[in-house]
Parts: sequence; structure tokens; C-alpha cells
Amino acid sequence: MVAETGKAEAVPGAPPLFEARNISKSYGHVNALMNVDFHVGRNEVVGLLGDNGAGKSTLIKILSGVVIPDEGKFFRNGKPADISSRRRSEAAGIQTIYQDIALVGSMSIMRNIFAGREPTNALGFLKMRQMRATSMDILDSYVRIAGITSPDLPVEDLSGGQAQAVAIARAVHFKRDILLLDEPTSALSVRETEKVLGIMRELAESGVSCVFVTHNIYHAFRVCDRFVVMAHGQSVKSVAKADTSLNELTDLIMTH
Amino acid sequence: MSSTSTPSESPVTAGSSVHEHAKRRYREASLWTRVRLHPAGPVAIMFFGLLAACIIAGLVIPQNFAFLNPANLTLLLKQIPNYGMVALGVGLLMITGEFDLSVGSVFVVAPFAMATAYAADIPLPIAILIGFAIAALIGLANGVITLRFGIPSFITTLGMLFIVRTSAPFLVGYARSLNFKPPATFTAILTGNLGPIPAQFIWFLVMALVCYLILNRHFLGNHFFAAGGNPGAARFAGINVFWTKIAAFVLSSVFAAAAGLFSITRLQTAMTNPQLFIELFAVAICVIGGLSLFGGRGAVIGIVLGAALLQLVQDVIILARLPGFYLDLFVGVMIVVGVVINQIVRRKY
Ligand SMILES: Nc1ncnc2c1ncn2[C@@H]1O[C@H](COP(=O)(O)OP(=O)(O)OP(=O)(O)O)[C@@H](O)[C@H]1O
Ligand SMILES: [Mg+2]
Repeated sequence: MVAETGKAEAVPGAPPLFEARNISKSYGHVNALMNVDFHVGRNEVVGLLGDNGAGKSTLIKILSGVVIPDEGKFFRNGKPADISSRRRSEAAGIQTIYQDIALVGSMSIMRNIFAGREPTNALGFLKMRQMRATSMDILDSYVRIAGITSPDLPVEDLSGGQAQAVAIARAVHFKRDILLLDEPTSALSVRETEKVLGIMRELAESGVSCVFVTHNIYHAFRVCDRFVVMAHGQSVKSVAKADTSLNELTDLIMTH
Repeated sequence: MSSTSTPSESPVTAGSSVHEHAKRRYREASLWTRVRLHPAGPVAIMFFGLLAACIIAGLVIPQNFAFLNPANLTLLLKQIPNYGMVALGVGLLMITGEFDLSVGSVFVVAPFAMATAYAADIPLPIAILIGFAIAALIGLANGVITLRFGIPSFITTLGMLFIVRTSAPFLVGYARSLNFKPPATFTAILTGNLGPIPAQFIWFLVMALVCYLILNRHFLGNHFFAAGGNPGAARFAGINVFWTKIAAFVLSSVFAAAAGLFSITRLQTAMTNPQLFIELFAVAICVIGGLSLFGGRGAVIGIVLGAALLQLVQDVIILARLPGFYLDLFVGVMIVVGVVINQIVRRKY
């Protein structure tokens, strides 16, 4: 193993933390995914690489429960898992940062952070004070983005990078076992990007596995333990960091 | 590793000490920010501006403009709930990004069903429940048809407006009216007076408060805003957009039925002939009140002020002995002006 990137794939032969087998999804005539097998081990950061339109985001959305595959089976710790809705996928321990950020512009940062998972009393009324305190903590903890002064600001008044930071902070805060990051740093400054890369490593070491979709192969090479290269809706290669190099990875992505 | 964070501020293992730091860094939005972002700002300016003008005119020329006459003020308060109650439900639905034009017919037909049931010796609470159940079913049908088949709700509910409108005459004959004489206490509680203040107006404020609590203090309201503001993001956040919108469709219909119940109680008569344009006035009130036609934006106070502004203009027209069609003109101008102001305020502050 590579010392720098920690201890991926602990016990050989043990079932992976999460596994997807034979995933297919088509949109009309477009085969976005064809018989894709994919797994996430414990304590690992998986880099999901590939050209535009390769099917990376489709796979992320399927794992996240917001896109239902035409075919495919899912297993968590070797046991069949149901991720046929966002809520079920969340219950299976999966949290996602989507490529298109997925925040509601007209709502405040605070209300976005808790959308779909509001802390309420028995009658369904919001615990506003708790929401405000927690959202301040969340903004403060993960990404201290310049310019955000209040959790009450509407998201549409934020810059692209600020909004992305909010989406990241939200997902990192509510993470459980697996965090899916679909091009999470596309709008971030160098400093914030470094922070996000650091968070992924820390998460993996503390037991939260990450799937990192990126077009920046240098970033991928710095934080990932393993790489999965996709092309034209298929997974063409899965290789551990120890068994590859930057050049080989670049070739893999370019030639398919 | 690449992380720049020092161990003490490790983001993943952030402890409780963070909160103190967070409180220093972030604050609640300032008053100015809140006012500037508030969707009801323009309608508040228009309403209070006109109100001030009316009060001044009422003081200066009381014999020509009897605005401050207690009878006039009581009448004004009595009128506000008429369209206002319908607008509350329509507004909740509009925030989820959908329309309901069928309220104009539900306003007539659901209370007619209540009166019919009551006339057939069904106990009053059950008769009222029957009417509400019919309204809820109409709302459910609006929602299911709209969402299952991906039709604009504008079309679905326009169809429903006509269908429901003809249903009562179809069953019992056109232009039928029916006495509705519930116990006097019931009538007094719904449509009596509390001193100079009509009970209806108080009920309207109560309903507005309920709407406010749903919208701003309940998780359902958070889902309403999310489903209307960005349905995709709402779904990605685990919100069931379908059921959220269905709930809003049902609420809209039920509010229209409630408004109708107040109306038949006040008149002591239920009629089958349609009350024209209630649905359009309800939408107009919401738009004037700063709700977005595209969903995701709006506040209950805007609806209340929009309803009040509409009646205030009506009152001015009557007091100034202007022709009645001036109201339509004003409503038209206010809709356009309201939308334009909202657009400007959002783009530049
Ligand atoms: N909702 C959709 N409707 C129709 N086609 C879709 C939809 N979503 C994805 N596709 C198609 O599926 C294919 C895979 O798309 P996907 O978004 O997964 O690519 P990607 O690998 O994430 O690309 P990028 O790196 O550009 O984000 C593309 O050809 C795309 O056009
Ligand atoms: Mg993508």
C-alpha cells in the first residue's frame, strides 16, 4: 500500500462497504451506463474519472437514489441494499454533493442546509434556534468561505463558489458512511479546493469512504487510493494507486 | 497531506467549541437585509401609502370622503376576508409553483354541499365536514392530474373551474338557492362582531397566522418553498415533491371552501350560480402581495396586505363616487406595477 494514502481495502475477501453490480441506465437512445460494476471499500477515496458524458454523474445519481437504474443490484456489506429513493439511499449511509450544486436559490442558506431533513418537534414545527446554531457551526467548520456573513442570506445572492461551498458543507456535515462528490471543487478558489481535498483524506481515515469525480487528474492522484476510469457508459478500468502512475492514468482516460 | 487545516480546527472532528467561534463570525441578517429581501415590501409601501392618503383625506374633507366613519371602517374590515381567505390558499399553492383557478367554483359548490346536507337534517359539523371533504377531493384531483400527467396546473384547474362550476347546477338545477340557517351562536361566532371588528376579519387573521406558521415555522413550508423554488434540488434533498404539492393543492381547495362557508353563513343562503372572478382576484392579490408566479417566493403578510389593498381601493372608489370599473383598472395597474417592482427590487438593491 501507499503510505501516504492510508489503508484501503483492509481485509482481502471481505465484502466491500458498498457494491453496485450490473448497472444499466439509458435515456431514450443514449446508453448512459451499460453493465457497470462499481464498489467502494472501507477507508478509501475512489477517483471516478472519464471524459465528458462518460456516465460519471449518472452513476453518482443512481448511488444517491435520485435516478433509478433500468437494471442493477446493490449490496451493502455484502447484503442487498435498497437505494431506490433519496431517503433510502440516505438511510443506507450515502450523502452526495451534486455536480449542479442542487440548492434552492430563493431559500436561505439555513433552510437549504436542512431541506428534507428539518429538525422538528412532534407536531412537525421547526426547531429554528437549533437550525440557526447548527447552520452557523456548519458554515464555520468545513469551508470558511469569504463573504458569507449570515445563514439567513438567500443562496441566489451567493457567488458560484460560495454556493458550492454551502453544498459541500451540508453534505460533509450530514455524511455517514459514504460521501459522493461530483466535481465538488469546480467553482472553488485554490485555497478552498485544498481544504476540500484535505477533508476527503480526513474522512477516509476516520471511516467515511469517498467517491471523488473530477477532471483534474492531479487532484485525483493526490487524494485517491484507487481509480475507476469510465468511458462511453462503461467502466473500463479499476486500478489501485500503487499499481499506476499519472502518465498511465492520463493515457487511460485519453485513449478510451 | 494536502490539508491546510491545523489539527485544532480539523473540520471533520470539529467539536462544540466551534459554536462560540461561529457565533462571532455569523449573525442573523440585519434588519435592512431582511426588509430588502422581503417579498411583501412593495405591497406594504403601496398599502400604507394609500392608507395614509385616505386618513389624511378623511381628516381634511370628511364630508366628501367619509373614510374615517366607523361604519366605513367596519365595512372595509368585513370585505377584506372575502377574497383574502381564498387568496391565502391560492398563495400557499403558488409558492409550490402551481396555480389553482378552480377555487372560484369550490368557493360556491363546497358550501352549497354543506347547506344541502344541513337541510337534509345532517348535523352541522358533519355537513361542514362533507363540504370540506368534497373540496379536498377536488384539490386532490387537481394535484394528481397535474403532476401525474405533467400538465400545467393552470390548465388542469381551469378545466376544473368549469367542471365544478356546472356540477351543482347539474345536480340540483341552475340558479337554485338554499336557505342556510345554522344556530345563532354559530352565525355569531363566524360572522358576528367583536366590538367594532367583524368576526370574519379576526378569523381571516387567524387563518393567515396558521398559513404563516405552516409556511415559515413548519417543515411542510420548507418543503413548499423548496418544491416551488427548485423542484430538482428539492428532490435531490430527499423531499417528496409530488406529495408536497398535493398537500398544497388540497390546502388551496379547503381554504376556498372555508371562505365559502363564511359567505353562506353571512348571507344565510347558499347559491349555485357562480361568483365570477374570485379565482382571478385571488391570483391578483397574491401577485400584488409579492408572490412569484414561478414559485418559491412569497410571504403570508404579502397576501394579507394585498387583500387589504384591494379592498382599500374598492372603498376609495365607492367613497369618491367613481365608476365601479375603476377597480378593475386599479387591479390591473397594481398587478403590473407590483410585478415590475418586485423584479426591480430583486435585481438591484
Ligand atoms: N436526464 C438525462 N436525459 C437525457 N440524457 C441524459 C440525462 N442525463 C445524462 N444523460 C446522458 O447520459 C450520458 C452520461 O451523462 P453524465 O452526466 O453521466 O456524464 P458525465 O460523465 O458526468 O459527464 P461530465 O464530465 O461532463 O459531467 C450523456 O450522454 C448525457 O447526455
Ligand atoms: Mg458529470
